[in-house]
Amino acid sequence: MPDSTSILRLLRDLVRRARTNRLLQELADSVGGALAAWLLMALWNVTMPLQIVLGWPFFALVAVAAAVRIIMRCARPIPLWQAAARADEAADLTDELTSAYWFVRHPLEDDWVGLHIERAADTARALDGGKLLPVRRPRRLGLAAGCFAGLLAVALLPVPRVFENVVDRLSDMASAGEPVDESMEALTALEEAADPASRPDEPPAPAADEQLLMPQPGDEGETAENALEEDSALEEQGPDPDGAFTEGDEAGEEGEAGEEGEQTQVENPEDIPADTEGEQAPDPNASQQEGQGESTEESGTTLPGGDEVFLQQGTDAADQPQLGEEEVGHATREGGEEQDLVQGELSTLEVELQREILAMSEEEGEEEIEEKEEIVIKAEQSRLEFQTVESPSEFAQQELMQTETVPWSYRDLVRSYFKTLRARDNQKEDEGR
Amino acid sequence: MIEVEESIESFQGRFQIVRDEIGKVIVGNDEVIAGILTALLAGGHALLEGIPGLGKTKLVHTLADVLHLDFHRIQFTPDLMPADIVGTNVVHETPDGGRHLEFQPGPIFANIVLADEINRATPKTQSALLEAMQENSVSVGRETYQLEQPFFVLATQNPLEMEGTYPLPEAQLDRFLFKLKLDFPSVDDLHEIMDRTTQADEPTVTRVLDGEQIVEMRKTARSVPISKPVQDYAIRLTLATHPGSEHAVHETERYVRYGAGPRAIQALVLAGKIRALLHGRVHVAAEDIRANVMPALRHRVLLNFEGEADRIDTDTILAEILESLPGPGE
Repeated sequence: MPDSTSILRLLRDLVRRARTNRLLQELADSVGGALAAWLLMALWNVTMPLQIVLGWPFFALVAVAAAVRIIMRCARPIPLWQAAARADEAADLTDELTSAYWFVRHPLEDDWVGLHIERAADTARALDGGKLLPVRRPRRLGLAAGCFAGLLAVALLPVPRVFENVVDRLSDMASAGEPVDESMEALTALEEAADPASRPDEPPAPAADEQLLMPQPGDEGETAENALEEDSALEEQGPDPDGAFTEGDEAGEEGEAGEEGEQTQVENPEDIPADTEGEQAPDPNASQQEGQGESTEESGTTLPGGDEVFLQQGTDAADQPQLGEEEVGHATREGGEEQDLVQGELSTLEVELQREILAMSEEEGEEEIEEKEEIVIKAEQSRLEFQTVESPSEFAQQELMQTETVPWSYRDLVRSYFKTLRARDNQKEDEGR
Repeated sequence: MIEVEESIESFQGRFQIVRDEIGKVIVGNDEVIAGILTALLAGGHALLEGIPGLGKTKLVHTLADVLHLDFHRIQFTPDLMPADIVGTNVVHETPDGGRHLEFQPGPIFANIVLADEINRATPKTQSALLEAMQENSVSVGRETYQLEQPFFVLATQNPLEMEGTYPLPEAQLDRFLFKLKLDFPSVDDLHEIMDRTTQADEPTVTRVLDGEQIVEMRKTARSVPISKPVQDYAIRLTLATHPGSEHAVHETERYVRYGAGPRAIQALVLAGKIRALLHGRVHVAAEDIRANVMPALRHRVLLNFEGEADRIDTDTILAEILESLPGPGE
């Protein structure tokens, strides 16, 4: 075999081995990097409230990126002179193969060069490519294995999912095309409606005693929104100095309960008065509502744009129909779809109060009703107990803080949603104090 | 092929004989001895630097004794004139009463010239060596006289005693292939020196090599092939001493005013070839280049003001370059 052939054969063998090692190294690097990223995101999902979607799209994205990286890095050629230098270094040949390869590529008729190539060829024949450049274990194989073990540990870790259903509901709203963002707008609109400061054109709120719209047998035409507005007006006046529980509050709560009448089926539908079923009634404040572009259609709230939205959660306890503790009802939307709802703790006193008021409204006279209301309101317990009720917004917020997946595209929505609710809760809490 | 093998063996054998013979008188300083012989075989000249009493002059005397070559010593002093080195035309009176000018060769007309304490002469006198060292010829008046080969200048200088001295100009320094530093001997070497020099019989050497053999060894050394990657490494090493070069390191940029010139690359390559032969190789490796960087480049790197003020040694800069610059296969 010619001397130059021996040298080149050794160098090509080294190049093949170097490419194999590089491929293994790149594979380990890419897999290790992908698993590390996956592990970090999984740890994020375990520890942080807002979740990152780790599904097949993510896996496919990482796989494609890793494949591109491997192809790009492995496609780079390894020149023979690099292999020669590597062999010189590994076999301590003092640049013999490097120099000989250069003279093979640039032949020179010289005895000294011939002797040099002959000696280098003898050296190349004596060398074993496997010993010079053995297949090495990738450096980051340990990292990949560690990340894989970490992912297994995270997968087997018992992650608390106590409030899973609320997040599911949010997801269902998003998947069903439910106007989640519009519900927030509705919430905001209702808050603005409840805030006289935000309605400069609105006439001053009437006296509290004028707004005490007790649900009478003849008040079936009272709309839920009227009740809500009156409730808001009463809230503007602040708590009763005597701690009295005004009739307006009650009416407003009932009105809002009626507002959600189509969405929420309470456990005892007979407890809900007829006027909360969402029937449209002559509106004494119709002109004002028209001026504001607001109207009430059955149980929904129509925004200025004409979009109908539904309040499903996030309102305070007074806005929710009162159910048994931790009971789950189900809401029926206009489309006939049903959804499970989570309700907060009971405000039993309030329920009792509503029942009494309703009972009185049917059986007793107006004076007797007022007397009983006075007794109940002055007991003060209702307010104390009412304050201990955890608002649904805090409730749902805790839920999201602990578990569940929130898609990236909905993170801002959820954040602003609870931010709005928190502001409203804080406002009501201040008013309560 | 066989002739080449024989040339290599002959080269190695002769080199070793001279080295051993010098070693009979000179204790230690193996690298300096190897450097002097390398400079001799590469056709260059060597500058020896060391404090007094380290045997610089003794080393040169011993080398001259080992070789069948003419040896002259010139003691450089401030009043030494160029004519005292190269020679001059003197009026010669013939027996018949006639007179004519006749060239009287100076001490530079020898195979080995010891320029002792070369930095004590004025630059004008130092410059008298320039032509002889580079072109192996001497011009006096209208006549140019060729120097006999091999022609080898060994200069010494004292690095400590600077008063009344004239530092060698860069052009003069560049003529020296190597600048070799003699270190103080170790305790064992001092014991050996005492044993050799305080006894009744002083060691003697025999002449083992003549001029023709030296010229033949020079040709052999120049036959060693060097590949372009290794030569490129030598070039990059030299360029790394130039501030502003793409190969310059941080120390170069900060402390160097001018770097080494093309003569430095010649020195690196020629010395690398000799070293390769001495190691039985027929090719020059990067290791051969690296081994000669210090003696070949240290006197060719000119420090700037900051380098002089910080008392930076050029060896430090060269060591940084050697560490930073990638080799031929890197």
